[in-house]
Amino acid sequence: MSAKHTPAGSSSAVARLLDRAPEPEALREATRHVAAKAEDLRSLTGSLFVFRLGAEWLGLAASVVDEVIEPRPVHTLPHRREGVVRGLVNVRGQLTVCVALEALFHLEPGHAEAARSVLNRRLVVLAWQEQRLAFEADEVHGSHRYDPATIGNVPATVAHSVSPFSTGILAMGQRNVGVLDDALVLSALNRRLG
Amino acid sequence: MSTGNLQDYSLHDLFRMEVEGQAQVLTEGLLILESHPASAPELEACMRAAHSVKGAARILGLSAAVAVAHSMEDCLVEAQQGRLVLGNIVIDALLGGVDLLARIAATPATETAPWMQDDAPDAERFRAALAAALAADPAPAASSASALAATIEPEPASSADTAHADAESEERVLRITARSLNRLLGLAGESLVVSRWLDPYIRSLSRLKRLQNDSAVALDRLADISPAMSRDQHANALLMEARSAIAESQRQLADRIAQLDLFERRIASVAHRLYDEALSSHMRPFADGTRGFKRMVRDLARELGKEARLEIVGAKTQVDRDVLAKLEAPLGHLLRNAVDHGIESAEQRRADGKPAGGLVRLEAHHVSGLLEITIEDDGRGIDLEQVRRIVVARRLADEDTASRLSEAELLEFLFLPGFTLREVVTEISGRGVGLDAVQNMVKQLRGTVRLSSQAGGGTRFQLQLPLTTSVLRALVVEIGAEAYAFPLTQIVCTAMLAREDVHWLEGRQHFELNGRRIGLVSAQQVLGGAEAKAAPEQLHVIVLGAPGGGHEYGLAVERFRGVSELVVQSLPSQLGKVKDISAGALLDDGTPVLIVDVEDLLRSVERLVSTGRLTQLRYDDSAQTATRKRVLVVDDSLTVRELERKLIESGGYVVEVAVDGMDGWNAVRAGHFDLVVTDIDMPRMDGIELVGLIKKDARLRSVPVMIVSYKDREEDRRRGLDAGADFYLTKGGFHEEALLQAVVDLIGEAAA
Repeated sequence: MSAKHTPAGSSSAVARLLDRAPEPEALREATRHVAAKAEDLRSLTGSLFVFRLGAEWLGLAASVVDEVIEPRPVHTLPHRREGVVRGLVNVRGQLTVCVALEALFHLEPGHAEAARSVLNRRLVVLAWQEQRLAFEADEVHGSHRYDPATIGNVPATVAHSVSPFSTGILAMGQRNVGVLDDALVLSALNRRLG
Repeated sequence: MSTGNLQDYSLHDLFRMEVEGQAQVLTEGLLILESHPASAPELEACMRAAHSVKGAARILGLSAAVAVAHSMEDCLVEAQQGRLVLGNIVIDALLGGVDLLARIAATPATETAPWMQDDAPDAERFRAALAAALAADPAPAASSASALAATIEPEPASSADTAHADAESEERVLRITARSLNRLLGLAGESLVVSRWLDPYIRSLSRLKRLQNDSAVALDRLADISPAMSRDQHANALLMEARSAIAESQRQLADRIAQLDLFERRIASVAHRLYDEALSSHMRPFADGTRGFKRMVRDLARELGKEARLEIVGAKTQVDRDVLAKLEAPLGHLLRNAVDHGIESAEQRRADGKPAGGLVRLEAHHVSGLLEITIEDDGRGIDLEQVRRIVVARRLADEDTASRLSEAELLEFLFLPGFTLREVVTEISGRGVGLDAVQNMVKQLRGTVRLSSQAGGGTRFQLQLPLTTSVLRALVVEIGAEAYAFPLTQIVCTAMLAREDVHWLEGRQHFELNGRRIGLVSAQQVLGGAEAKAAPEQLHVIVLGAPGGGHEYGLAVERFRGVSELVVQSLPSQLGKVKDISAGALLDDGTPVLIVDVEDLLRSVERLVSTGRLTQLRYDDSAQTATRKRVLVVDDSLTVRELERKLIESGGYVVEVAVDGMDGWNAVRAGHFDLVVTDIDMPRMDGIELVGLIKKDARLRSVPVMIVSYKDREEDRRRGLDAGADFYLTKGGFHEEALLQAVVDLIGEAAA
């Protein structure tokens, strides 16, 4: 978009939009944000990688996430077409095991088919202790810094299938993000690979 | 991420690495000193090596290593000053010291406490042995030592000089972990794939340019057919403007395309070179895998009371890391054989007019794209008549046949497991487990081994191996819409089969090839994919044969894609062994391909055949089979299984069988069945569990399941039905009509 194509003059819609007085609510919010004490930020010691599987928003420790790339073809493995392993995928020239996290959590596929857009799907590559694994997320929010003290208990109503793997719930705006125990998830995945 | 910085190593690791290096220097130096005891450069090098180890050991407080290195250094200094000549016995003792140092260094850091004392028993023993050796060796007086040195001085100096020159011209070698090397190769491969994206993009730009050109032509035609327009001044000006704008765009577009084309060529060239370079760093000099051999040959010869030395030619020949690692054991074996069986005792050699010391040559070089390794000795050779006698004695051939066997044929017998020329099994070789193991390893590397011999003149082994195992020529095919690769060396041939070429025999599909009848198998079924689609009119078939005269099978795949050179990647280790697959690779477009483990696959086929589970390729219009209902029978008893199969087939149903619950679970997921009939008591997974799994699976839940069991108590019945079974039939009261009737009741008549 370039300003050149907009007819100049104070009567144009763009100029009116830019010249309008800020909403008092937005002003207050911005002021609060700027005035926030350093302590508030200092408590944000946790870093969570937030992504969506079906209808569930989940978070993994950002330290185990190596990279996020566009989805690419997954080659299935003969005799291993069921279960957690989806197959092999090319990540930076190396064959990497691709897993289906939804199979680990027994999430029903197609639960929120409408909300699912192929465009938003991403391949998330996890790396820890010389090991690498990839999985496809329906959508990736990215890294989110948070205060570990704000993590709440898992309410009984929330996806009971995920709960064995989660340590709590983090409120992120409108969303409730299930915080996963990465050590538990990774070891559960590893056990199901062989 | 750490990539093997020295900082990551503990002090102890550093010590171990230093001792590895110095032990190498010491061993090589001592071996030269054995034949040239006064060679100054070697004495100097060895003395320095011992000195360095002493210093390093002191830092770690490994007093035992300090003591050992110190004694060795003393001994070498004495020799340097001409007060001592290093005889065989002393060299033996010193080599023992090298071994001891290596052992101390290899002790895990947490268990080094015993080596912290001066008087560690092993160190004491070494010092005593060295002292004894010094006393026992006919230590000549200083004068005779210098006389000896004078007589042989010129030659050793020159040989040592060349050795040193060699060492210097050898390129510096870095330690790099296999992991980072593989990552480098992966990234280089990725850059190659990425660079290939540009070419089609440029072609699409050229199409765009043509399209634009078409609009210019259209404009010209428009001007032609309406002359009125050219008369109208305003219209004419607009036309000119449009024409010149198009012309300018054409010019600019052509310019951009040319630039992009240039860039594409540059980037492709860089990507290619990068990839080739990364690939070639997989190669190591032959010397890397053969370091211990000189010492081994020498020690072995001394143990046997012979004299022998090893000459290595082509030490710089580049060999794939993996090949080199796999070669170490077979080469070691052949060298041991050469010394033990080939080289004669010094007395006999002198009597035969040969030099007293035997010579074993190990030679490596590249010949027309292959690595050729020769192991040759100048010993007694193989007595063909003796081989002939043993062949007869062991009833491998009768006397008449044996007498007509050619030399080459006789030598082949030596590769048989358990075949030995030795009456007495020695510690070193001659157990008969030798040559067959060598041959197996060579075959595993897809190479060949040839043996030739000259009575009285020596034996010669010639190994031909691929230069690398990291690049594989393979036929890429599609199975279940996914890419699989078959190594070319393991394919007997390929064929395109028309439908009328497929024959039926005893319920199986066959075809004729060069007069042989070959069974036809669906690749998709063997690899456990979803049920195959109807076969095309032209079948693409790969003929595979088990080595050693096993059955040949024709594997029907969906499509041949072509022959590719694949860079082999081992599968991620987390997966363990994947059945029927040996490794993976990436195709030119970056998509994964799996390389088929042909031997494993043939075993899978044999198993399918022997359990009668082999399904037939279906052609599209075989309407009656396509719409016939399908029943899976799961039972571990062959008799019951086949009886049930016959009964149900007699009702016109298509029946497949599985041998236990696990097998059944795999089968039921792979194929579409209208009914599952299962036993309860089975190994691996029982019927109740199978029913439970089926009924829990969203996709399979609707498939009716019938249990047929000997258990006729009400509680067993209850258990089966609770698990979700739709019908419970006891084998006790089981006769034809009851079973078939139950099937009909559950799923209706065979043809829907």
